[in-house]
Amino acid sequence: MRRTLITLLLLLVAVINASPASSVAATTTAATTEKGAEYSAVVKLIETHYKVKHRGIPFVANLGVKTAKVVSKDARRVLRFGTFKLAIFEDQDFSGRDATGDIRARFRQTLEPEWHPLVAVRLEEEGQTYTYTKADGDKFKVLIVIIGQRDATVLQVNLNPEEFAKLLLNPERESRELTNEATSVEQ
Amino acid sequence: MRTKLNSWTKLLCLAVALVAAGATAGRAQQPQAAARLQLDNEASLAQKSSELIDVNLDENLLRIIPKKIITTTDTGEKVDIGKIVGGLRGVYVRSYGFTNEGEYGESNLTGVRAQLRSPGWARLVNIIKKKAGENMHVEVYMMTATGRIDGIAILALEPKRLTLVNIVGTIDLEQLSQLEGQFGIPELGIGNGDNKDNKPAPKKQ
Repeated sequence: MRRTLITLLLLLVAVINASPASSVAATTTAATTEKGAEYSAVVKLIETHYKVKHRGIPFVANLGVKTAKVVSKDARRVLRFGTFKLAIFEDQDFSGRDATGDIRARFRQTLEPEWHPLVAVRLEEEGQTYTYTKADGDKFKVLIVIIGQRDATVLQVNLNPEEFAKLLLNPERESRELTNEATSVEQ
Repeated sequence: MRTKLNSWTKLLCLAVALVAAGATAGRAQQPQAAARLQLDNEASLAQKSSELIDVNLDENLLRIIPKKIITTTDTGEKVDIGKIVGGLRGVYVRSYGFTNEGEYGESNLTGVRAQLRSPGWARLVNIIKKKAGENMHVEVYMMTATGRIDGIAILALEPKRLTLVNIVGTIDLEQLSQLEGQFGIPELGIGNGDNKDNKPAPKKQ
């Protein structure tokens, strides 16, 4: 009887002390999605939000990487993230002050909490930059959305810890550089 | 009967002691948790502003940064950012730009100021300086509940821009100035000695 009582009391104590940690764990393991689904969802979201169409990419992008190995010094830099997914929206209308406010809310609904919002920037001249990250084994998935007045890009890359650290040091600048590298290889 | 009652009492005391020990362990992590400010209370600012910078680096991300990573500041000084980052638990930046003066006011800062009045926070410096010909008012707060610095908060008020920075973890003013320009933290000129007017801050808010 006494032994049962002691066990019950210890169990009670353990439950009380462990409860906050277990609730955090439950929150962080929630919401796993299909591979690559978020990238497609973000592209689709931009299309519906701004009523625009993107130019098809993965095949062209991969072709670009292979060519880049022998073509230019700038292009070779793209190898730091190997294969990538890229959607380009060219010469379309992304203005509309009212629309910019809630595109961010819609990214949040689509990507969080599984993806971490690293940086969100909205500048009058440079446009909008949204960068989300997610750990993926020993690499890091990075999803970058850049929306200008007439153009937009959605880029998803996998970075190794060293390259990822560079992104963390200067999130906005590095997001733009990664996108510039991807789009310059593609051309 | 009496022996049985004593046993019950002992067991209850043991249970209470164990619960208390758990709670104490939890509180030991609290100062740095308290140094984390809820900056998104000012969400209306994001709607009103024409420009926005929002950076979120939590502890998991900061741990990825190598222990030694040398960067060069604007003044050409070499800084080991990795060493500074080693003591940090989070870096959060919100910067709102407005088209006209007067589009934000003290009423937009009530949430942050209320948090900065909570125990452990103290205003360290109050700087008024000129930036691009306009007055810039910078307030630096420190969370020092444990006798060391557990976090820093910066409020930078310009006529058309409001910047809120919250750094959680162990950091001093010199290291803070070295972090300017990194992690989305804007160049605020803290600790570079070119301030037009440094006002001594009251000991405690």
